[in-house]
Amino acid sequence: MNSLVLIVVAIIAFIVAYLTYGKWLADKFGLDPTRPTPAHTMADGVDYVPAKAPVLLGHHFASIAGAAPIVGPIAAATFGWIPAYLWIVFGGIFLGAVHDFGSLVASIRHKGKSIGVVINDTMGKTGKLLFNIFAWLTLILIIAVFAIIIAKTFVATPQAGTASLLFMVIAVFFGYGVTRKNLPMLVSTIIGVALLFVAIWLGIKFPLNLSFNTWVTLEMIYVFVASVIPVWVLLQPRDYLNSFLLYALIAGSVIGLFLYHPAIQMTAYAGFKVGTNYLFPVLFVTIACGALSGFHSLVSSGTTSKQLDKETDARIIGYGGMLIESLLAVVALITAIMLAPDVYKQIMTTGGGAVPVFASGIATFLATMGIPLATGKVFASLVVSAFALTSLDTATRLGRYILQELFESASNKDAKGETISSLNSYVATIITIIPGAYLAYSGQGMAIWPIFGAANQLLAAFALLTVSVWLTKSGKSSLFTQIPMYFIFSVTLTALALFSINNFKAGHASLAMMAVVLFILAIVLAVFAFQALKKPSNSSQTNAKA
Amino acid sequence: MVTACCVPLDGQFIRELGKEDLFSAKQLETKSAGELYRELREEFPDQVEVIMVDPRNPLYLIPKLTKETFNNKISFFQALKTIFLYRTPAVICDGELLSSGQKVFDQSLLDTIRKKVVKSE
Repeated sequence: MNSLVLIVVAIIAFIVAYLTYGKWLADKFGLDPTRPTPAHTMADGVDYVPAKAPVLLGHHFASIAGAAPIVGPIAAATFGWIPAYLWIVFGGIFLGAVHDFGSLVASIRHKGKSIGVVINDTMGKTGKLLFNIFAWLTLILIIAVFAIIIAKTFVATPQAGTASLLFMVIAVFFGYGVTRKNLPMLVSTIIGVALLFVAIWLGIKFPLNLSFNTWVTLEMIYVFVASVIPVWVLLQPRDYLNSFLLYALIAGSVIGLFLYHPAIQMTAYAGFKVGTNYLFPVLFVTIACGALSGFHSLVSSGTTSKQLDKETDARIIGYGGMLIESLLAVVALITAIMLAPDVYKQIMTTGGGAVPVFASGIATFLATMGIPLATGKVFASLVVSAFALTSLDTATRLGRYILQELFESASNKDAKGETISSLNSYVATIITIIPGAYLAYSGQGMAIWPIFGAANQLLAAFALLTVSVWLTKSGKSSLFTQIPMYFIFSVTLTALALFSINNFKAGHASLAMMAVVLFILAIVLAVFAFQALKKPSNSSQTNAKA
Repeated sequence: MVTACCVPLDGQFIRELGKEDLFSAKQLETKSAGELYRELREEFPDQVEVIMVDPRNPLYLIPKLTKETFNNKISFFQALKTIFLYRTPAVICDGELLSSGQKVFDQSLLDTIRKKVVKSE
C-alpha cells in the first residue's frame, strides 16, 4: 500500500471528525459565542487577553508540539502499522482531542484556572504531596528518556551534535541581542534562522564524534547550567527559534511526503505479543502525545484558556489543535513504516533509535524538493533534538521547584514571612538530575519511554476525571469523557504493572522499582481524586455552572 | 510559557506554586502592554480593535502586518520599518509603527492613538 493513502485518509478523517464529532461535543459542552470568556471578564492585558482564533491556535499548537509525538509512533511501529495508525487516528479523534477540548472548556468555566491547580486544590494536603511525588518521578523519567534520545541521535548523526551545540550559541546571542540590546525582532529572526542553516552546514563539515556516555555527561552538565540560569539567556530564545524549525519541518515533510509518497514496507500487524510486550496496553502508552497526552491539559488550561476570545473558538483550538498534532504523528509513523522491517529493526536497535529513523525519512521527503539528503537528515535531527533539549531544561526546572516545595516547612520562613525550602536551587537541581542521569547511563531508552508514556497518560486520566465530574455536577452527560477516562486508567495501570514485572525479569531493578512506585501512587491518587472530586463541592472550582 | 511536548513551563503556574517569577522581564512588558490595553478598551470599546500577538506567531504576524501596511497605504519605507524593524514590545496602529522596544504604556502614545481614532471618525 502507498503511504499517501494513510495521510489522505487521516486528513479526511480528521476533517470529518472536526465537523461532526467536534461540533457534537461543542453542543454537549453548551458552548455559547455570546457568553463572555475569562479573557473578557477578567481582561487585564497581561494574562487574560482575548486573542483571535488563528493567533491562539498558533500559540497553542507551538506549545503542544515537540519531540514526543514523533518518537512514540516510530517506536510503536514495531506492533505493525495498522494498530499504530488506528490508535493515532481514533485515539486523536475520540480521546486526545476530547481531552484537550474538555480541559480547555472546563478551564474557561472556572475563570481560566489550570487543571493542575484544580487537581492540586481539590485533593487536599496528602493528595497534593502524593501528586507532587508522582510528578517529580515522572520528570525524572523525562530527563532520562530525553537524555538518551538526544545522546543516541548525536552518536548516530554526529553532524547534528555539532549543529545543536552551535544552535545553543546562536540562541544565546539571539536572546542577548533581542532582550538586552533590543535589536529588531524580525531582522534578528531572519539572521538567527539563517545562522541555523550555517550551523547545519558546519555540522556536516565538522561532525562531533563522541561516545554515548560522553554525550549524556555533557547533557547533564548542560542541563544543570541551563536550568539555573535566567530563562531569557537560553530557554526563551531557543523556544522562539524552535517554532520556526517546527513550521519548516511540518511544511517540508508534508509537501515532501505528497511528492515522494513511499510504499509501505513494514508489517501491517506483527501480532498481539511482540517480544515481551503486549499490544494492549503497551501500544497505547508508547504513542502518547500523538493520540492522547495529559500534559496538553496543562497547556489548554494554562495559557490558552485565558486568551480565548469566544467560547466557540475552543473547538478549533482545543479539538483542532490536537488533530494537527495527530497528523504530525501520522507523518512520523510513515517515516518508520516506509522502511523494510529489518532496516527499521537495525536502526532502532543499533542505529540510534527513533530520531534517526525520523530524520532519514524526512531527509528522503525533502530530497524531492532538491534538498541534499545529508542536509535534510541533520536538519530533522536538529529539530527533534532541539525540542528534546527544551524538554530536558523544563523538566529539570519543574523537578527542582517541586522538590523544593516538598522540602518546605512551616517553621522555615523568610523575612517576608513566606515559607521557604530547606533545599537551595542548586542542591534541588542536582538531586533531580542524579536519578535521571543514572537511568540515562543505562541507555534503556525504549524501556523507559513507555513508563514515561504511562505517567503522561495517567495525567490525562486525571484531567478527564476532573472534566467528567464538572460535567456531571453541571447536570450534563459526561459519557464522552468518562469512557476515555476509564479506558486510559485501565491502560496505564495495566501497563505499569506489566512494566514492573518485565523490568524485574530483565534485571532493570531501578526501572522496575520506579514502575512499582508509580503504580502504587497512581492507585492511591486515583482513589483520592475520585473521592475528592465526587464530594459535594464547597469550592467554586468544581460547582461552576456549565 | 515555554514548552516542548511534553513539559510546559507555565509562568503563572510557577507563580501560583509560590516560586520565583520565572518570566519577570516579559511580565513587565506584558503588564505595561496591559495598561494600554485596558485604557483603550475603556475609552474606545467599539472603535478600536486591539490584537495582542506573541512574536512566536510569525505565520499570523507577518501577513497581518503586510496587509495592514498595504490597506492603510503606508509608505514603502514606513511599511518596511513596521514589518522588519519592530522591537519587542511594539505598538502598531493601522500599519504604522508607533512604539518599539520601549515600555508600552505611555501617555503620549495614548494621545497619538486618540488622535488617530478621532481622525478616522
